[in-house]
Parts: sequence; structure tokens; C-alpha cells
Amino acid sequence: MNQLRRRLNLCCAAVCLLAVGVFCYSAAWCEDQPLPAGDDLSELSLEQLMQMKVEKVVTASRFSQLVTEAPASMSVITSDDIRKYGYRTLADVLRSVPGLYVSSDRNYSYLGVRGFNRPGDFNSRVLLMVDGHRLNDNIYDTAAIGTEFPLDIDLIDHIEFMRGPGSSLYGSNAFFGVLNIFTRKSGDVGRELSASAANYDTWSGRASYGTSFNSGLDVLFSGTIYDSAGQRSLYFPEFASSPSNGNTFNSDYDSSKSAYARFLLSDFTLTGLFGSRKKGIPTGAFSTVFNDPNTRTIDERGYVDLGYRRTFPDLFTLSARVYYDHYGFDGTYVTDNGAPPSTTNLDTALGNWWGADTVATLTPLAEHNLSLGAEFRQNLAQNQKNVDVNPAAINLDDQRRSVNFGLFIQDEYHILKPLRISLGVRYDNYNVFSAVDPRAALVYNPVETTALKLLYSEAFRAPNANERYYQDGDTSISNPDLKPEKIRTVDAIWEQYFMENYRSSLGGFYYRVTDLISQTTNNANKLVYRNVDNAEAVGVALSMEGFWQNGSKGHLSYNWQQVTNVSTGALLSNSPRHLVKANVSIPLFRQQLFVSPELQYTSQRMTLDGTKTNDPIIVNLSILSRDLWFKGLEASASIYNLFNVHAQDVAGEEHGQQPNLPPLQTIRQDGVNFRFKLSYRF
Amino acid sequence: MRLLRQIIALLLFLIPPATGFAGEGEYQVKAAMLYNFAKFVEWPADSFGGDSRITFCLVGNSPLNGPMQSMQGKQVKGRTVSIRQITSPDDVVTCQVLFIPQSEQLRLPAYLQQAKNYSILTVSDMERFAASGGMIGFYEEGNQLRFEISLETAQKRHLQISSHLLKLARSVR
Repeated sequence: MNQLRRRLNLCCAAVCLLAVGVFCYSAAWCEDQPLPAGDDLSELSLEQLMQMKVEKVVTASRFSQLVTEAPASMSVITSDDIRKYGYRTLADVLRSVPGLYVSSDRNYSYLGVRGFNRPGDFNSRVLLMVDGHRLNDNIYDTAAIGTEFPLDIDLIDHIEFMRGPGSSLYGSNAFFGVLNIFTRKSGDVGRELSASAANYDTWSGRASYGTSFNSGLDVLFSGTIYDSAGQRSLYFPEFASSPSNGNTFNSDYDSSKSAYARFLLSDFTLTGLFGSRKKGIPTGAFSTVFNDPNTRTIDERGYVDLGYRRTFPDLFTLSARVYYDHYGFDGTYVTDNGAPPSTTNLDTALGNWWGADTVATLTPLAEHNLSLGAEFRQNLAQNQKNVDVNPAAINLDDQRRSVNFGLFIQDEYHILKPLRISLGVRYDNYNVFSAVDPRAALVYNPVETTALKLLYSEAFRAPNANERYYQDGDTSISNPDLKPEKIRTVDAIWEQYFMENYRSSLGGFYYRVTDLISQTTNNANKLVYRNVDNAEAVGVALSMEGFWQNGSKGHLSYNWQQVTNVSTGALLSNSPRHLVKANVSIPLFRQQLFVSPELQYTSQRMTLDGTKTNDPIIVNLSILSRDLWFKGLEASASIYNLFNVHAQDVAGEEHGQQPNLPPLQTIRQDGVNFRFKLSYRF
Repeated sequence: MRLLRQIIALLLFLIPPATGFAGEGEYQVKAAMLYNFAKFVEWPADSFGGDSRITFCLVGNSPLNGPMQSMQGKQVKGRTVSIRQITSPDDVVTCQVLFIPQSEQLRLPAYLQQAKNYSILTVSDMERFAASGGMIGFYEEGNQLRFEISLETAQKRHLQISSHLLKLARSVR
């Protein structure tokens, strides 16, 4: 504690000195260069005007218009935020969003929304999209938010996270929220090179090229490689009696490569995306041999998407797309079957699918904004395989095909000047079951600085191929008759703007989940997924955002939630009662140097055996310079977990399957670490 | 908890005083560009209501008002430029061009809502204006002014934007 306080005081002193020093400097540099009076610029052509140099522009307030009009609780994170705060992955971004929390088991990152984040769930209850293209795969329905996310975060223009059920528009998986990633325009990217170096032998490189041609063709190409050795040595006290005394070496590695290409011509956009990531598993999960660096997972995800969008004035706007997607999973698990020192188990999955969807928006009557949509998907392959290498055995070889479609309609009716009502419903058909999900929202603006929103929505999550068909003939058995999960949510939100610079928001929610799919044991002691549980939750969210004249911005939020299992009345595991986020970004020198600290507090969470994790306060600090040394160069230095707090994340069932060792209840996260990054645009 | 309080105090200390700072040259260049935009836009024949003038409306009080005043009386495609400062969304009926400055961010929805009833070219220097229902949004690249155009939004209001202007702009769908 003393050490912590000493470090905090040092940090205080350092930042204060820095701030004072640069404020003095900036005063000297604040010289306007006005154009000589009497110059008649209006005689110049636009081309000439665009060549003129002007003093740096600072936007006074940047409240996103999207958030105020949305009939939902929404958060927007821009590429400016990503650069200033030094976010490395989507998971880093989501950790800063009010009400969200991320746990990591050194293999995947799991997103918790509204207090729900059960260990072992694959983020299948959040819909993840890139430019409107669904990224959840057709085997596990995962929303990849860690290094396995197949798009370089530098290509992101902004991220919209909408809290609450979204099935009335998007269908399955939009259970707790919808995360939509929007990519940058090719003109915004230009020619860019980027490189970064960080702790744990981590480095990455990116090259991007975006341009438009006279013919109107617009292209963007980008490729990224990333490689990290991870923690070369990790210690797990629970495994102290293992041959290596609880130590594991060189098994936390993480490497990935990804590519992105986009062609835009007239009303058509053709996009291709591919990413592959390999991650070592250091935790001895799935009863693999502890301290064997050969246990690893490879995830690959790619798609090709052709989109069309056109407005027919006075008629409607039509958008349509057709796509082909691929997902591959390759898990190598070194297990100990009593047979030769170790045997290898290969767990693989392959998903291929194609689909088409279309949306038309029109205003048939004044005051009405109507949207109609249809979506079709055919799963050409949903294959899962599990084999042992030595002695050879095929435990599972399951191949499926399926079809699903959905139809939706939504109307936004501007009844009175300050009152808007939005009603929508979607029908989804999955052969063995169908789902109907309605949504109603009321948005009331008594004065333009106030918004009151009342929302009711329902959503479903279809059981995925893994839950229905996976069985290894030994410890688990499949359940093809699984039904979809269902959620019903009520939200009440009050948003208030004041003093031109600030926006505050206060909201409350209640939700009830039925037919929650959980892993249980049957009479023969085999693991099987069943629709057994019901969960209920209440929560309150409070947040405040501010923007200042000189370009500073920040936000502060507090979330309280309580999620219980309806039949037992017990709190759910891995669900924190309290969440606090604080972010502030300050320009130190014109608009060319920024310092951006952020803080995240997560209260204790319950592990699978009922004990509690700690409640860490994580502080990150990032410094960004833009065009400071020379034009086009952005350089940043970031320190993550500044006070070296040993945060604990909740472990899953798979971390307690070691035959001769006690289970892991928590997984310790990385201590203080840093990253340097350079980005050059020319 | 003590630690938490110290950290929050630290963060609060870093909140800077509000200091305004905007290059004067910037608004003179913006005014000239705004005047030029009108040369490359076609309004439907009935938008002018028999008036021989073309009216640029500026919402509220912004640094653009001064430089724009010097455009008064100039010619755009045979029409005389008239500059008006307006303070209420209901006043947009007389406008052909509507400029909404950053300071009017809160009232943006009200102005855009009213503008939807007429063929008005909406322009602003608010961030993401062209993606939030506006037609032309200024942004800056390095130390130079640029603009992006949402052709879709303009077409919905029957405004024709010349390909010359579109080529100079970054397009927003």
C-alpha cells in the first residue's frame, strides 16, 4: 500500500510538472496568423482555397448525434479515442465503456454486459458486426474481441455499442447488446505505415493504402502482422505440486496476421477480410498437460461481401448485400491419457456459409420512417471433429448443414413535435424453431436539452452448433433438441445536456432471461447442455461526459447491477456489483500532444466454487503526439496497469479439469506493461 | 477507497480552464468556400419563390458571420447573394443555404428537421455532420480545410451537386 501511494505521488508530481511546463510553452505558441485584411478570398477557386494553410481547428463540442437520437442506450468510441488512449484491441476499448467488463483466460476475451458474463460462454450473447456484416461464426457464435478479432483496430473509424436486446432488427445473438464496427474511408487512410513494440517481446506492423481514382473507383488495402511471446514464465500457485512446481514457460504466445481489401464504385462496395490468430494456452485447461507449450488454438475468420446501396428520391433507400463467410478452428491439446508420456487431441471445427439480406427505408407518410428487411442464410458446413493422435481414435466427426431466414419491420413515428415512438418486430425461422421478437421505444424531448427514453424489447439466442451437436464420446453428450434462450428487457433513460459542454445520463434496467442454456450433468454423469436456468437482473447506470474548448474531453461513469439465478436466488458468478470508469484526454501543446489517463474499477466477482476475486483499480496512461516532429507522424507511448495491480479474472469449468491438481478459480492478469507505437502517413 | 479518491483528485486537477483559440484565417477561408459551394449546386426551379436572390442563412452567432457578411451583394449564377442571421428553426423557410456552426450542436436536430421540408443545402463544421443527416461537412486535414458530402442526403431534397464539387470532396454514404 505504501509503495502504491509513493508511486501515485510520483506520478502526480510528474504529470503536474509536465502540465505546467507545457501550458507555459503553449502560451508562447498561441499566435494567430490571420490573413491580411482586405484580401478577397471569394475570388479564389475551391482548389486554391483548399491549398491554404489555416490555424488548427478545434471542435468545441463533439457529442455524437447518433447517441441523442437513438431509441436506446448507446456508446460511441471514435478512432480519435482509440489513438489517444492507446487501445490495442477491441477488448481494451470495451473495458473503458460504461457498464461493460472484460475477463480474459489467456486464450480468449469474454465480454460482460449488464452483469452477465458466465465463465465458458463464448460471447454469443453480443452481436458483433463490421460495417453491418455479422461476425459471429456458425459454430460457436463467438464475438471475437481480443487479438483474434480479424480487423486491425487502426482501420476502425468508430465503434457503436447499443445496450439491450436488438433481435427486432438483427435476429439471433443480439441478446445483451449489438457492437457495430465502422471502418475508415480510404481517403482518410491514404498511405500509412505503422509499427509498435511492447513488453513480452511484442511487436506489430501494418501497411495500408487507400485512394480514389478519377473513374470514381475507391480502394483500400491493408495488411497487419502481430507477434507476442507473452509472459515467458507464469506461476500458478494452485499447481505448485506439478512437476514444474506451478511454473509454465513459453506457453502464453500470441501471433496473428490479417488482411483487408475494399473496392467502392458507384453504389457497390466489395469487401474482403481475413484474419488468423494462434494462441498458446498456459492454464492447463481441458485437462491438458500443464507446462506443455504445444497446447494452442488457432482461429481463422474471413469473408467476402458485396453490398449495394442507393437512394431513390421521394421513394425509398435500398440496401442489399450478398456474402460468403468462412470460419476455422484448430485446437491442439496435449493430454495425458496414461498412454505414452502425452498424447495429442485435435479438436477442429469448420464453418462455411453464404447469405443475402436487404433493407428498404421509406417515408410513406410524413412523420413515419418505415424500415423493412429480409435476411437469408445457408450454412454449407457446420463441422466439428475431435480425434486423438496416438493412439489414433476418432471421437467426433459431425457434419451439418442448415438454413435460416428472418423478416422484420420497424416504424418510427414522430407523433408530436417532442415525441417519437418506435415499434418493430422480427420473425426468425430456424427449421426446428421460430422466434418472434418485438420492440417498442418512446423518446420524449420536452426541451431540446432533455431526452427521456422508455424501451421494451425482446431478443433470442439460437443454440449454436457446438451446444447442440458436440460430444466427445467420453465426457460429454450432445443435445440436438435445445431450444433458443429468450430475454425481455425494460429500460428507462434520462439524458440531460447542460452548460453547452456536458452531457449526463441516468438509466435503470430490468431483464429476465428464460431457458438459459447451461452445461449440466445427466444421470450417466456426462456433460450435456440444457435449457435449465432463468436469470433476473436489475441495474442502474450513471454517466457524465464533457468536452472543453481547447479539445479536452472526458467521461465518468458508475454502474450498479445485480443478477440472480431465479430458482436458487443466488448471484451469478463473474458478475460485479459495481463498475466505475473514468477517462480524460488533455491536449498539452496545441493539438499536437495529448496525455490521456483512464481508470477502471471492477468490484469483486464470484468464482465457480463461490469464493470471490479481488476488486482491482486499473489505471492506464497514454501519451500521443501528432505532427509534432514532422508532418504525418503519430507517435505514442502507453503504460497499462500503471500501478501494477494483480487483477484476478474468474476461471471457467475447463480450468478445473486437471486430474491430479486443484482447480484454478481465478486467472491472474498481466502486471504493468507498456507499448510504443509509430504511425506514418505520407 | 483512499487510493480511488486520490486518483480522482489527480484526474480533476488535469481538467483545464476553457481557453478559446481559433485561427481567424480559418473562418475567412470557410466563408469563401461556402460561397463557392453554391456555384456548384442546382436548386429545383421553385425553391426561390420568385425571388431573384439566393439566401445564405447563418444560425446564431458564430465566427463565420463576420467573413460571410462581405459576401453580401456578390453574384452566384445570376442571383444576388443575401446573408441572413437566423435564430429559430422556423426561419429556414427563406433559405437556400443553411450553415449551422458547432456551437449550435444541441439544436441541430431541430434545424435539420425543419430543413427537410425545403430544398436547402445544409453545411456545418461539426464533426461527422455529413454522416448525421447533413449535406456538406467541413473537416481539416493537416492545416488545410476539406469537406465531405453526403450525396444521398442532398438527392433526397432534390438538390443536384455538380461532379466538379463531388470530385473535390470526400464522399460519405
